[in-house]
Amino acid sequence: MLFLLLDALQDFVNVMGGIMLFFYPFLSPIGAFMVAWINAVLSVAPQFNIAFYIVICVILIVAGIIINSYWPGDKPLPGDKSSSEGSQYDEDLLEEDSDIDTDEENSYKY
Amino acid sequence: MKTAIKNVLKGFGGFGAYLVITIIIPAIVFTAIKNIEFQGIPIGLSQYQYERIVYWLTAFGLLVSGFAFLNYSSPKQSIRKGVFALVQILVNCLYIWSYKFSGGTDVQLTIFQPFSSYYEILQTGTIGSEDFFKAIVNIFLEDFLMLYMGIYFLTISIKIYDLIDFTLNREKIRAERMK
Repeated sequence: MLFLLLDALQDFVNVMGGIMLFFYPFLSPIGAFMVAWINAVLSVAPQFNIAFYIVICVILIVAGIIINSYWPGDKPLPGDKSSSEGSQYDEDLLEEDSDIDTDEENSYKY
Repeated sequence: MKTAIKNVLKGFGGFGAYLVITIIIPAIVFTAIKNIEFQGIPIGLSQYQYERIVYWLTAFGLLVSGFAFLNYSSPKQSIRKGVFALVQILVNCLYIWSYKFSGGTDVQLTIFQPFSSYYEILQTGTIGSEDFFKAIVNIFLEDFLMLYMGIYFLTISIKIYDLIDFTLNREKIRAERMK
């Protein structure tokens, strides 16, 4: 039983190896590209200056608070009547639905 | 104003979670590896880059946490959220790669043990011998890291798709949110 399991594992490994070999030509350039841009950015990153990163972190948080206080995302887009007049929009939809229903009823009659 | 406060609180939740995941837990793990002992034998961690690793993890951890704040505080399915989520993933790539270039993926454990320590302690009460038993254990995690980079590439693709989706369906998403 154990030997059968080992055979099955060997088959599984062979299949996985085949898949990896198939994808290698596509994945390898992707990996090289990722490494290239990351190394380029890291070459510019300041070394042994933790205060720089702390200041950036604080700036990001303060910016986030300011952005959210001015644009919390609960206002409709300018010129978007459907969302600013929600109840009217719903009523229009209901009217459209009722029109469809009456049409369907009429079609059944005929 | 109520929505703004809710957004900011969500942002601080994300910020705290990422602070723990990217800085506190790795710092504890590397400190534990540095001070590890095995069956009473002190394992001197020959990891001269310990401070370098912790520095880079803290530096990029702070950036990741900052962008996590912006990401989690943004309204759901907004273009802003899409942009910040994408930037956060890119910074995450830098964070993951910092494990490699700072030496965090090549952990080397060195075991020092005096040859005649027990005998000399029994005889003289002091350790005088300069002969030491030395063993070096290397742990390479580079392949594991490369796998992670592949996963991150897929995540970047998904985030770009999300951003395009949020931009194209902006009005529809906003109308649904207003309901």
